Amino acid sequence: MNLIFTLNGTLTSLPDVPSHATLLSILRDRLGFLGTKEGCGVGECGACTVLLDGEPVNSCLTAAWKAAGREVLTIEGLAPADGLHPVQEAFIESGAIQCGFCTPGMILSAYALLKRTARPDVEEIKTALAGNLCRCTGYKQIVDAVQAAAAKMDRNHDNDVSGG
Amino acid sequence: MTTTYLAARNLEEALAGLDRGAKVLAGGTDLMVHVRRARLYGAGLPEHFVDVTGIPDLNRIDLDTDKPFLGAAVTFRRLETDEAVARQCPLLAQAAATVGSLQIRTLATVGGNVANASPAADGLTALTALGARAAIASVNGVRHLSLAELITAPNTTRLLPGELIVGFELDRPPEGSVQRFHKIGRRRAVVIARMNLALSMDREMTDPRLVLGACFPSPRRLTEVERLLASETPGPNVWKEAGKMAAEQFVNACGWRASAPYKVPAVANLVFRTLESTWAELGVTE
Amino acid sequence: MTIGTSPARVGSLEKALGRARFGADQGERGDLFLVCVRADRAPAVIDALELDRALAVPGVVRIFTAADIPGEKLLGIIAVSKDQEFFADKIIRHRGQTVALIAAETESAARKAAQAVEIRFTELKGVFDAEEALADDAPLVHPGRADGNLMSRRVIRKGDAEAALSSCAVIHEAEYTTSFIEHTALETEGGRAWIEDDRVIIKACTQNPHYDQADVARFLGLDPDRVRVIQAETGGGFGGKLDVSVQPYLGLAAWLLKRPVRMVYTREESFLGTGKRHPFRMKCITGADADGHLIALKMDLSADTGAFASYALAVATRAAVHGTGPYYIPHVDIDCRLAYTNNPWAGAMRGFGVPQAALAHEGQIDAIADKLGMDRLEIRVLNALRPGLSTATGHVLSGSVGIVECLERIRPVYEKWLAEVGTSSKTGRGVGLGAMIYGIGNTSVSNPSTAQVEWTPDGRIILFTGAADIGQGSDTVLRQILAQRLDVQPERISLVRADTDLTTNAGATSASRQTYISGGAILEAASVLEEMVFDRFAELMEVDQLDLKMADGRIWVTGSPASSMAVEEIVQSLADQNVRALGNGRFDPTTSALDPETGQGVPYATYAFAAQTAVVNVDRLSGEVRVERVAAAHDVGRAINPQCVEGQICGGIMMGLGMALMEEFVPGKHANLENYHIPTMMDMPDIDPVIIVECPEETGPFGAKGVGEPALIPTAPTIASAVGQAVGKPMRHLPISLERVMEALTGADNED
Repeated sequence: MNLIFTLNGTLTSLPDVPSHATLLSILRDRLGFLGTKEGCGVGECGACTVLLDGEPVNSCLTAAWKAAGREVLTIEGLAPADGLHPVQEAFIESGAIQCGFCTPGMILSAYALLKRTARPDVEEIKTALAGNLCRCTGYKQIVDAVQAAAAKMDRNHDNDVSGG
Repeated sequence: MTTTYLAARNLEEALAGLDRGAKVLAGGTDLMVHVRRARLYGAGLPEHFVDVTGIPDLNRIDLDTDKPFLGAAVTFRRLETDEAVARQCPLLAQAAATVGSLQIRTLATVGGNVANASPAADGLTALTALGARAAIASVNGVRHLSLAELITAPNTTRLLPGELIVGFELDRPPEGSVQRFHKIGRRRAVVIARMNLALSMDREMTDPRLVLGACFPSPRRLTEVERLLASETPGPNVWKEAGKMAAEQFVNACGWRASAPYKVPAVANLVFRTLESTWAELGVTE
Repeated sequence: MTIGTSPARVGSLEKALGRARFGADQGERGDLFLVCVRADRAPAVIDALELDRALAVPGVVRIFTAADIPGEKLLGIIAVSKDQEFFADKIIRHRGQTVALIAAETESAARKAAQAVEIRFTELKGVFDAEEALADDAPLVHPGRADGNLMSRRVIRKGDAEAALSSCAVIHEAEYTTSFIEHTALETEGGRAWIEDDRVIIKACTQNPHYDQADVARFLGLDPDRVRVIQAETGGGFGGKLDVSVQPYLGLAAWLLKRPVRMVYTREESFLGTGKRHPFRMKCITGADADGHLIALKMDLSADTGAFASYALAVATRAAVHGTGPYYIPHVDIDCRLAYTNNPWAGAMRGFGVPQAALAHEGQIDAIADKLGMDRLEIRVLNALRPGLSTATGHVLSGSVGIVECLERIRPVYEKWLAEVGTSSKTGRGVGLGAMIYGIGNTSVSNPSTAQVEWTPDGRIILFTGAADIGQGSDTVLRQILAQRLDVQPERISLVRADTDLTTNAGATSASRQTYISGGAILEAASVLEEMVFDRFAELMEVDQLDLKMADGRIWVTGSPASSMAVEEIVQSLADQNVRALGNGRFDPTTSALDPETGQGVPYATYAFAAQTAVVNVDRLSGEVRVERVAAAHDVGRAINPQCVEGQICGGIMMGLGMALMEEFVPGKHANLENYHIPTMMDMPDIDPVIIVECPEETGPFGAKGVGEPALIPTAPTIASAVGQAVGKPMRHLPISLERVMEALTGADNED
């Protein structure tokens, strides 16, 4: 039986996925989506964060078969073609990216937060992103980036409304 | 391909799978760590899984009844955000919010937390305060065990092969109860409890519950302290005495071990403060 | 003007899109996977390695041991202390040391085989504490070594501390300790190697590609030019990727098997197989006169360097040299000894012993202030180094000495917080203060950087630098320095970076040296390039070189705006003569050797300074500490890119917060992030303000010095000082755990 799921909007079918495979291993080793990182393998660092039906999960702890019939979003699927998502823009502009190893997971956690809370305060940001460790930035510029992204997304949303 | 992964649609399907020797997979946040360890260090990998998270019964939150019930596959994320949980069992919501990270809470289930039986499990401390009785099913039927009966030692339970925790029957706290969960950790998030505590009480001290976690082989109700609270006139002296008793109970159970110089005062202080602030929240002034 | 602005970081677009390829992302289908077999007992004598069962695992191609090393068996970052066995030969010196290396067709086969190797061994008596290791009868970590377990020692003697102490109005004596700390860069070590034209090519994460090349070549017994090291995108380093890790293994397997190989450490292997921050024990006596002038300091420092030297020589010297902190003390007697033990080895970590020493010198000055009833900030200002005063090594400072300004700029924040919070230990809140000095670049040794700048006839400007950007931002900052010098937009400059075939040695990304030293080399390269272009232009236009100026991509003649020419045209005319418009630059800061007996000399050309303050809240019932606010003032000489500077400072503060409150690596206990905790976003205080002080350094590019390590150094002492205020007792041992706070709150009041 093939494992069938939607990966970044594309229906994906994989043969021979063992029951004990992790979502992280099939993304990286089978499908070549290397944007999802492994930092610890035990769900402590958040570098492997992907969105499963819109919710952030540690893909290192997620059995691959949990993705069956569901939608997986990785960092490669966030930006529109030839562009950047506002969260990505804000991370670049705010200096929130140093070594960049935590960045894919951090951006996806931030995106998931902003999808459910349009204008999070600092405490909400900290709570939502506490599972994404960063050793470089001290987090301050990341918090700034999430707030800047919220403003951008709000504006875009307003534009959508006025345009529609 | 010799492995199987059954995403069970109902209890019967799951129990039949387990009866054939498959392993229960809920959120997987503990199990997949073991799987990784097996992969890295050469132990045998489990091959057959029954994923129980899609079973409707196991996802039931039914608290607005005389027989409150919480499905075993309910995630900590749901406990943290569910309106009925916040209203009926706030300490469960508070405890859930302290578990791991948002990513972990999205996956991890309350049943898994119990089955893993860590001495420091936040969910376990909360459920113990709520008098949870696990409903355990197998192809042979259903049995019920209190958490104290179910968990025999750290990370050890009486669950038999083929058995599955379906959910938990909870006590209904007396009307007007205030509930608290408090956790001490080595950092402010994504941390295993150095100590945790759950408290439920009302103004009349009808049925006070006080549970301490990460201090015993598994979270434990401090029944002597509960009796003290129920029998004495509430007030600072009683809170202080309660703290002292709690600390003694810890020492009696565990001996004067390396953690004692910290835990003994911390237990006493934490119990004192939680009682004091909860009493204040009950709106009682002396 | 490019300097002082914050254009987007080089590489951040690829990182935001998930397209950056780190060491762990290297690899192609068909690569062999490598896994180390690590000892779990030490010290021990290897009686035999049973490999048969492992060799029988399907997919295993070969198992390497010490006997397979074609070249030198001992590696190490410092030339005079190469002692690290990348394969234990007869003796296993520390737990986690590699005894064999599996190469297999798949990762799972390699891991299975690694488990199947049986190490038959006889345990030896070991030593696991620095002071015990230095005792006469201690078991020797490297038997037969002339100095026994004493790995390195640095003595600093200035004036007569002993005599001066006897005349001091006030004396304070105390002991401070710190723990092993794991760098915990988010990316574990990884990379790939393959063979091309009979050469070994290694692409891996690193802070130090040219050193990697040299040591891998030694290991393989090859000329360095037969090894090429390319830095993969590197997910943080903090000193942990200065020593080689996977590189020798990758090189060995690729070279001997003539096949592409890859390797990625698990987090557990990264904990076992890379260096740690040295745990220090620091006994100090400080004396001052009645007005608060520091008069004398005696320090007895010892640290555990584990089984191998790594950077121990540098750490011993750094800790000693910085023992006085940013203060003038006329009489100094510091003795710093680093001991071999059978613990995992300690090496470079952000600050090389200075963050540890800072805990001591800041604790001492706080205590002296308290004893004299002086304000803690005033005593720092009173004693702060100024131009004309000498450091512990007798280096008379001139030029960029911003410590007074840092303290004065932090003063309003500190005083405001002190007014709000108070100094009473009743509230459970406290305000702390910390300051630091840090020498930029390697200590008392030549540590040049080199670079090239090319302007092509088609208008491209290419910067060739061997400097490894590991996330700190050297690509961005070095490009800005060049852009400013050539008066072009930074985006116009393309980078060729950290590849031993294409770039020349820029030295390590360490010691906060890349902005200052590589920046200097790039300026020099740009000047050489400019001179070539001016020469040619002067020839073509028959004008005097002295009147020329480069701006807007053109060369101009002063006073005659009509006679200008595009640089491309000039470069083309050079190309027509078969001359490449390429400038070579080199910069090596001026230092002098330290006297072996007294430690006197000029260890660095310039120093960074900083002051920080913090407010903490201590839960007096549970012992939990929350850092509420931190403010920082850092003298960086000149902020080339303020956003990068702020990023370094905030990152340093959080690493310092981890060091202060939660980080402690206990060998055998901490194997992964489940119980080794670094700060999460929830632990972040409000970091505000971040004050950038600019006391220009005349030898630095546009006045710049460095900030990478300085960012971290004052934080742990600042937090320790604040917690001390909150609990009413000095906190002298890191980390300030729940247990230590509770002990301070409940223990007998017999201290200090």
